[in-house]
Amino acid sequence: MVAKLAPLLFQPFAVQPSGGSAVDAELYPYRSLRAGDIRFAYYRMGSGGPPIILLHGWPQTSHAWRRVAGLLSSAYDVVVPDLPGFGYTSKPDAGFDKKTIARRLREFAHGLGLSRVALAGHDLGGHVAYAYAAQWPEEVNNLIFIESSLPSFGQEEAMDVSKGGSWHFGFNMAGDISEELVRGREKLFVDHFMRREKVGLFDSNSVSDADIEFYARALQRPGALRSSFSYYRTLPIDRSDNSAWGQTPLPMPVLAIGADWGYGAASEQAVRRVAKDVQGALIERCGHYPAEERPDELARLIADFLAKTPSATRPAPQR
Amino acid sequence: MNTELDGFHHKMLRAGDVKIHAVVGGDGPPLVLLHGFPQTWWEWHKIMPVLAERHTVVALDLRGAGHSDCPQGGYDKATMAEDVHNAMGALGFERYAICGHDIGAMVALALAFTHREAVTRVAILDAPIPGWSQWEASFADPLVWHFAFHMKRDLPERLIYGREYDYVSAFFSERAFNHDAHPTEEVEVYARAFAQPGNTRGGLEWYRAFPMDHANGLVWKRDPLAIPVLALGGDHRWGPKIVAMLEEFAANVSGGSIADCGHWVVEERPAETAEALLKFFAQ
Repeated sequence: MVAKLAPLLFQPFAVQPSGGSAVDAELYPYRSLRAGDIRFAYYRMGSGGPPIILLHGWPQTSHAWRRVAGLLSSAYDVVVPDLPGFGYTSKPDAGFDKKTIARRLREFAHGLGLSRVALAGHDLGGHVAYAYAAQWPEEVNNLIFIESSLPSFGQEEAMDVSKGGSWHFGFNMAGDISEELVRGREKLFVDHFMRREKVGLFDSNSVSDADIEFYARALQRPGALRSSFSYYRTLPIDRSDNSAWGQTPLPMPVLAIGADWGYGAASEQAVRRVAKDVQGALIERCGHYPAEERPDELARLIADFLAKTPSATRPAPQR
Repeated sequence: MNTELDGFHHKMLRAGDVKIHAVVGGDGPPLVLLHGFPQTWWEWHKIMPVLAERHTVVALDLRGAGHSDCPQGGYDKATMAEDVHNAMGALGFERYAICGHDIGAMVALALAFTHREAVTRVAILDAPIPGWSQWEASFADPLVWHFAFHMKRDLPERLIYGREYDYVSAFFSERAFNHDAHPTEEVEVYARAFAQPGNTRGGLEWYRAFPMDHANGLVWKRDPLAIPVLALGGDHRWGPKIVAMLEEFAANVSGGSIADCGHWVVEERPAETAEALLKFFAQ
């Protein structure tokens, strides 16, 4: 199963014509797990190796990892959830601060029997991964921080429009009117972010229109826009949580991965302010979405990092 | 709803390379009224009759709004001020007083700097001013999230299209203290105007020119205005800061806050606003 899935999952992308209509969602089955008050949707591949949880960013879903999950599955137990509020996972009324999201995610991991994991987070998934690692450092063997910022550790500059920051922070945080304007225009919205001039895809055709459509459909579900914007509306809470956690540097090895057409070195600079053991890597000719644009390179960086850091292969303690 | 005012007539004025729509009425020394976002000349309709008792009132639609032209460029406040000056010239007025609200206040102040010989007095109603020492810091105010949104090119037009009423009504209510200031039929007037071809883009262009406006403001304030400046704001919006803000640009500033009032001073507190303006412009 694992051996068959891996090539199946990856090869089609290498030859897929640009703008193709195929959505790869059919290649992986989504499962469900109830954890606390949340019904998590996730896919899982390669049950043999040590566990790694891959966290998607905004405004995406676990679909963002479709090209990477299979590549890691020969050596790792790869778990890819839709974060609370996204994709097929429940859209709760509240609790979108990353402290609460991380608590819910940990309940999900424990529900799968995973009490020690490696965590990889892209974009806002990186915020969640940090909140998890900072609150339960003994349960996170390794942290992989991909094209992400950290509130209270440099993210504010990305928000400051008077210094070239992005407009979407204020827009997403504005409340109600943001949902009103984007409703029915989800594809325009996702397409804008993935192909935007500033940090969008280096090769605009590396993600198909059908994949953009997949994200757009996920945002069209009732509550999805509200939830998605709530990840931004809680940034002030995250800022104060991070600022407290940041007093204690993360103990586990951290790999920070940037993209030269995305945030560049900013991800590494952010995480160096909250962790002791950090190595950085830069993927070239790549925008803000390396899992989709440079899946081979990203998977290789993650695998090499996990192989070189012994804690990753340490067996999980029995509970 | 009917947007005609008894005693006022409409004119289309050739102002340089654009046509500017003006609503004119009354007797006495000329007073120009410049509206803000997302409005038109109609924002002044509650106080125009009383102002017209002592002034020749000229309420203009700014470049990009109402029935004025919406060209591709020229939305920095210095160029928009030139439109106003040319429009007043077309009406035969060489010297005049100005009152501006919101974006119109930025244009009014720009005009006072670029045509010092023409502007006798200027009233600034509830607006932050480019060039102000707190201008960049004010972008962090959650109520001005729209600055960055409007400055983003192309996308806002697509998101607002067909939802002009929702956008405009949310915009009014978020910044109002008195929610009876904009009844539904009034909001519809502005929403319809904002939805006219070119007007959505025109209104957003006012914000896209902010970097140039800020650079100009920083230069202008080195040589402060000598004419009297009235600075008035709602006590729930810019009122508490507005006098100190304008003192960075002018030597002779009076004014302050209007009580129980948000951003929409003319519609929220028409009597108080008209009284303050008449008193200031009568001096």
